[in-house]
Amino acid sequence: MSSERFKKEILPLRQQLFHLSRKMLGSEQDAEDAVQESLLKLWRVRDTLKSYDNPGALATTVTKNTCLDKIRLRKQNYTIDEYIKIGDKDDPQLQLERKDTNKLIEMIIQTLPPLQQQIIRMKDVEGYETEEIAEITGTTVEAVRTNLSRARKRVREGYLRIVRGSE
Amino acid sequence: MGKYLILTLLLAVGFTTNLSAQSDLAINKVFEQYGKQKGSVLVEMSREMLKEYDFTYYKSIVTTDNKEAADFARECLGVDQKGAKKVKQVVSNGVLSSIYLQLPQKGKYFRLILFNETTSPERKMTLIYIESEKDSEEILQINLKRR
Amino acid sequence: MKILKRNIISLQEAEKLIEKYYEGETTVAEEHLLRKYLSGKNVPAQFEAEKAIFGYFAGEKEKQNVRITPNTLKWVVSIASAAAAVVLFLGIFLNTQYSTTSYAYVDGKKVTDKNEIRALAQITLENIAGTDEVENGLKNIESGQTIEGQLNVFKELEF
Repeated sequence: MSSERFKKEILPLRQQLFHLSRKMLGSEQDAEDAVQESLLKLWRVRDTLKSYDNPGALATTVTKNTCLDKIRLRKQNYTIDEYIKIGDKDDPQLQLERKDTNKLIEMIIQTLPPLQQQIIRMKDVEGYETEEIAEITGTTVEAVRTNLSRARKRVREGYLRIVRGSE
Repeated sequence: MGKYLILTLLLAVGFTTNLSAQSDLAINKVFEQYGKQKGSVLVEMSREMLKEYDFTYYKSIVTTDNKEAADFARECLGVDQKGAKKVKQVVSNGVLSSIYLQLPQKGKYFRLILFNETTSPERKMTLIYIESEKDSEEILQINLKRR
Repeated sequence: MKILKRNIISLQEAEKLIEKYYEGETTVAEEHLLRKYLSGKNVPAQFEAEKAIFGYFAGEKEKQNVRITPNTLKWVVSIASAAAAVVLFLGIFLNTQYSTTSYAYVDGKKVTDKNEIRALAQITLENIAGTDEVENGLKNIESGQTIEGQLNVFKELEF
């Protein structure tokens, strides 16, 4: 069973992966986010783990890449405020997009920090329970709840600002 | 062709064994008579859906504004009570409002009946039958404390 | 909780659940109830954002469920009879969403969607698990005794 393999071969590496992330990112909070995101990514591909001689090497690679993405993203941070500014211009295409609530929500979710995006997807789309997500990311149920709560509140705020702000 | 037949048979067997899980009990009549009425909610779940609860079988009925169903349920519980391992009751205003029955084990399965009736804001009766491989008291503690 | 026909929760309950939702504390079953409520016809304007959010996630969920995993296909294809393959395939696909041995009836109408069934069982269990008022003042029930009073829970029973 691939979830067994994940728990036996990947989760125990959490500590190492955290240290690696901290070296690359410089902050404990960022490192913690990076580790959780990496674990979620590895969870997604857990079916392929058995074909790796050294799943630890895979975990390291995934974590390194996650950290590199974070470093790159630090430079460009597309926020909701910028989207609102852009939308105020007379662009009919954008005006139309504002009416498509699905696209709007999707866009807002994409402005969330990657970890929050992943967690909200796992909970709200894929239907994982909080306890399961906590297990996979090696954190507490409380930590997952906090991220989930922040993510959901931001989506709501973002949506209301765009929809009502334009009136 | 052979594989197909076997599978169909297995499915059929699985289906019927679940249906008869509580058919030896009087409360079965409550499910049968009131389960599909207006104002009722009937739920039956078998193993595959019950992993998160540690149950192997679950059946419940909730009726609203149905005094007859509640009284009938109490009658049936009176019957099923005989020979029960443990009985706990709560009486409210002269009427049994909550009943907990632990029935003798059926092989390795613990069996449990829960009954509850509230009269405000409306008359609502809840009757639940549960089978599990774990000790029912453990199960109850875990599941009811979940909130 | 009053169960009215197809609309399983009331506005007050929806408000409570939505608050819980934003705290990240709702279960999958509760979120399912909210989704049903918010996808209904007369959703109050105060829930405009929630309607959009849940609508989006519902759409994403749809896209997910339609996907067929490679493992299922391999197993199905390896069966000799083409007719058997079709029937079995339907059985597997339906079983991920619908159960053949679990079901529910609400007001006499059959429910086969697993998530709905689970949600209904959750509500039912909650009837037994008690209310907020009772949470604050539970007494232990000794075996064999009957107790007068307004107790309607089984939590913290002394076994």
